[in-house]
Amino acid sequence: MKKAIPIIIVIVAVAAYFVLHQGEKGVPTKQQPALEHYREVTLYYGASDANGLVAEARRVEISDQLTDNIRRVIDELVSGPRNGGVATIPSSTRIRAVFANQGIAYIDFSRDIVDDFSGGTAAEYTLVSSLVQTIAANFPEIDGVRILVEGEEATTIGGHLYISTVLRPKDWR
Amino acid sequence: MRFWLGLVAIVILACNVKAGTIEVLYANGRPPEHLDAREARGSVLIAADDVARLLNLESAWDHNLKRMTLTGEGHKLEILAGASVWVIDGRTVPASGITLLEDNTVFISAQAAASVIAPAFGRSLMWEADSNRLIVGLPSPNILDLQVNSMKGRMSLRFVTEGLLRFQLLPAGTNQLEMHIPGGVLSRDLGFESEGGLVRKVETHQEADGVTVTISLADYNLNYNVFPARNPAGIVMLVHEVNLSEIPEPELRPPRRLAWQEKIPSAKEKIDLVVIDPGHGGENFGSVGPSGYTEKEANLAIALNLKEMLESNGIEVILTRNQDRFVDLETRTEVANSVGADLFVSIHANGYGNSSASGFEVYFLSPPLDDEARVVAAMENAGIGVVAAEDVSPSDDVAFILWDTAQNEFVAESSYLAQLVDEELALRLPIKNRGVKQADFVVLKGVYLPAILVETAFITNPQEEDLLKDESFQKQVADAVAQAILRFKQDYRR
Ligand SMILES: [Zn+2]
Repeated sequence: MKKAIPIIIVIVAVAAYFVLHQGEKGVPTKQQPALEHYREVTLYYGASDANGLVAEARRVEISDQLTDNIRRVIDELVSGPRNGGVATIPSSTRIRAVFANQGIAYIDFSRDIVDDFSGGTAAEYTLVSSLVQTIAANFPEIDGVRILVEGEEATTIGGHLYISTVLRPKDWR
Repeated sequence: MRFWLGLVAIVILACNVKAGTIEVLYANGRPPEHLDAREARGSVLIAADDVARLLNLESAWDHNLKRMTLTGEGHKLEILAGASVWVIDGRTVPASGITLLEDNTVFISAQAAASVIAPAFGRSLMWEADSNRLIVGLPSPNILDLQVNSMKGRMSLRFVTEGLLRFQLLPAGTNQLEMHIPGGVLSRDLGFESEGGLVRKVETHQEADGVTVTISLADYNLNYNVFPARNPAGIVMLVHEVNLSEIPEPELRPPRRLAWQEKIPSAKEKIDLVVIDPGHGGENFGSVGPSGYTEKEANLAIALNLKEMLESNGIEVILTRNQDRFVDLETRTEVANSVGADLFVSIHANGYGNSSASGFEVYFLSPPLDDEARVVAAMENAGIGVVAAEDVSPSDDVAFILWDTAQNEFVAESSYLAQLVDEELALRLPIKNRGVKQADFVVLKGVYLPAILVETAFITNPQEEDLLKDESFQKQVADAVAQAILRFKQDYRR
């Protein structure tokens, strides 16, 4: 019984997300973003010796939608480091959807995050921590992340670490 | 003393009786012998004196009263030749089967000796009418129960035994297996049938020298493992559906006879059992080095070395895979839990997106607080205070949640073992010590015993890839882990 509850929340959140998204698309001709619509964000990549993360600052276009902004920041993260860090999420990965509910960001990735992942515990740990810390650093209203793959809960990315739970910044440093 | 001179006595005239012999087998391994017997009206009869001897009882023949008295273990049985009743401890019971008096020797039916006389003295005797064999001193049942657990795509059979029992598994036709348990004594018929299950039918047969179990599997692709289990003692068979895209050897075949099947010591002897889990395998390569050496190869080579070293130190080892084969994470965990092992050690090699990353590290599991909160909530929900993991079957939600955090109880032992392994590796390996770490590993999560995961070196680092390929490095890693386990064993001896 208990287990069903998070799934229901997810479904409700997904529905809410698409409804909101739809409404947004109904708005005619979006204006070209002005310069002040860019924000400096912090992305976390792997350290070269696999000991923790290195920060990289980047300017990212933002909107007034939290989930949109999360998506843009994660898109940037996936695009890879430009400043000597080690890439974490496979660059082939697409973000299918992002939604947020009660301080938890749900990020739905395409299969590529699993299929194109290669590496051991170090690479897998760094992938998860770079995602969790990047979101934590840029979105104070978010205090946990859930990773979905093709819309479903995934147990693991690379076969080592368990990720089918709310991933908290304090647990993934 | 009451006289029971039966007027309706079933005394057979000697002329209707055939003489012959039966075979007597001893469960304790004493050489078999032959016994004089009589046959009358389709019943096999044996001398009451012989029965007394086989059961280690005193016998006395009262010629005047034509009364045979057997005594032992504080019990007394009186057989009056020709009477329709016997007297057991002063109680009269209907005489069992045919009684024959021949030259001052009372013959009673072998069936009665087994089913009435032996139990009256707390002894064990078994009569096999088909083969005219009497089995003496069969110990009390040691195959107590069969627990069946069915989950989606998997099924487990656990024969609960008294102490560890040897067994042998043999193919017995298409989708059928036969398991022999020498010395096994069934508490009762433990067979069952299930229409939709992966195991369709189990039949148990008590034989003179043990038990034969016939297991009929569903006729699609299944994989199975059979392991001796401890805590509680048993023989566990795991059957699971084979995903054809994942498993290179889909058709059912008899498992190799593994070393441990022959080596299980007798029930009372204490053994130490470690499950070693070589990470990845089959289509799952794990990390791959710059020259193409795969993590799955390195893991297996180290695990095989480790197995040999532990075994030479008297520690039993079960591998979750002993060849290049895909094994899913749930099965690895299930093996660890079902065999009653003392320790679980998963062997991996690390991989990273930068080839300069280097060194070894040792992990134990730290469940995030969220999980603990979940357990508490689940327990409160279900109205339970404390649940021992053995008491929960993994078929309800609460049990699954508790199983998830099985490692909670072993954090102290697991971290201590991780510490020892890290120390021993540091003494031997020419690479960086990245230390003991905690993380939430899928393969450790459900393991209900102290468990660690060793990342031996970075296969993505060209120098360390060369080391991982090197046999002497593989041996050094194995030696370090083996030493750590021996130290752990010593420190945790009770
Ligand atoms: Zn691995």
